[in-house]
Amino acid sequence: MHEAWLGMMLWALSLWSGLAVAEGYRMRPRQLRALREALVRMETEIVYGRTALEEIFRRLAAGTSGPLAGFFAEVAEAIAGGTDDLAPAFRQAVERHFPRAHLGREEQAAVSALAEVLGRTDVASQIRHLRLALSALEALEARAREEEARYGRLARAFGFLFGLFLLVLFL
Amino acid sequence: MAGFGASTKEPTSETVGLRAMVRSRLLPALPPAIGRALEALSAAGLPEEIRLRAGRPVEVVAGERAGFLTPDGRLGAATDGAVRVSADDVRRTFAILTRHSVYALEEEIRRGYVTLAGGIRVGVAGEAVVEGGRVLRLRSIGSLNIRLPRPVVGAGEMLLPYVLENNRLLSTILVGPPRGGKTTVLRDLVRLLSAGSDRFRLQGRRVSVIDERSEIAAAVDGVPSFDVGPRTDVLDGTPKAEGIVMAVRALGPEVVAVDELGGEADLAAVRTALSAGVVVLATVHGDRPEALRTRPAFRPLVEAGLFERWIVLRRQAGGVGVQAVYDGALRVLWSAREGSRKGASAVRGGAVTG
Repeated sequence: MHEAWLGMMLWALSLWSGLAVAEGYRMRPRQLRALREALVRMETEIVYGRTALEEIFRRLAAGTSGPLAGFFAEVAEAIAGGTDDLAPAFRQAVERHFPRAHLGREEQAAVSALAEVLGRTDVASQIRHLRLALSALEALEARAREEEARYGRLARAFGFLFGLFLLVLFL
Repeated sequence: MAGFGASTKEPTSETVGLRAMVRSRLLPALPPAIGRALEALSAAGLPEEIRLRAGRPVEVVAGERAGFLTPDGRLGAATDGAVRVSADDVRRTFAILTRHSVYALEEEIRRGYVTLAGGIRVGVAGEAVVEGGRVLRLRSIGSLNIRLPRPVVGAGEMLLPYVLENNRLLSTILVGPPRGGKTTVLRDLVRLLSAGSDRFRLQGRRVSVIDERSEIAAAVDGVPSFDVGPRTDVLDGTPKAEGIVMAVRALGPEVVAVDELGGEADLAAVRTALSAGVVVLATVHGDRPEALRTRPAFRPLVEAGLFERWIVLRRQAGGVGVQAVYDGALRVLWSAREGSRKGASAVRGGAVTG
């Protein structure tokens, strides 16, 4: 009898793990898309509004949700706090918030590349660097969508089936 | 002629505001050692200019005092023992002053200076990226010349007798050397004309300030950092000639104020304004009154006879004073040099009539 209960619990655990992995695959392209949209908005603010960086990050924080909003808000806070070097604060915010948005090392590298540039140069150069980051994120997003289609369902199915296997083993 | 000077020494609400602004905006932007030394120095009087040069000692001008800043807040001629700044210090200071948004100030940096909230002006020098003989941008900033605004209280009152004739406002040019306080005087005159004054039985007038270099009103996000009066519109960053025409066409001003009048286009715009019945107040660079006649740059201005008053300003102990006043044909109405001899009668016969 105990074995049956244990088997049921292991099955549920395996199922949940599968769903969690699948959720990661599902969320990553969405977060990437939100991130890209935010960077496009940033470009617009820089080119047409000449908006100060702090204000841009505040607006982006208000216009996004979840971990990305936290990331933008943290950078805005760093500027408001009077930091004399934005780059480390920016990179720290990337490392803190991106994993929570299921964004991996490559995404972090693409955005962290902006740390040394953002706000430090003229408009033309800001655009160039933002476009570079955007095209990198675009490629990552395409791959993330592929992976979602390929592995997302697989992870769910694998979690279910492996759990079932354990259940059968214990019964 | 004690009454003709305007003092910067009195502790007024404006200097108190400036002190607070320096503490809240400027000192946090500077490396801590410089901030501390400046704080010590400011006890005896606010600095006017702070020059940061990468790898060299900090130079400060504060009233009549000038020199290299020591850690305990004194100014000396010796570079040894003075506070020094590194290239990184300059970069960091510039980053904070520009709020990490250099792109937003691109045009201004290309022109060589940026205007910040509170009227702080930062002149920049560095390595230029040039394309087709034109400065495209500055790649690295090596020097910052931070200039704090000097409130000159009473400067407007000082000039009022010269620019009013039978309660009619006269189109006037203020002449002075660079750093001679022209802009400050113009700003205070604008404030006074815009606000009006019971004491002088002066009715407030609608004023348009064409502030191409953001020096007169130092507007940040459309809000003037300086008090330029309640009836004043500021055309911030607008080129002078274009701005004058825009203001006359759209804002219906009684007075247009513009800094550092220069080329033919500016003069044409001034003519447009005058023919529309608008009074023009302007400034030009000049050091000596004689220069008005001899310097080629002034000739078209004088010959055009557009202005009814020329007032030459000079720096004097603790403020700005009037050197001489001329009418439109450059006849002396009053002069400080002759003031003691025949000044009184000249004033009576000239400017001070209404």
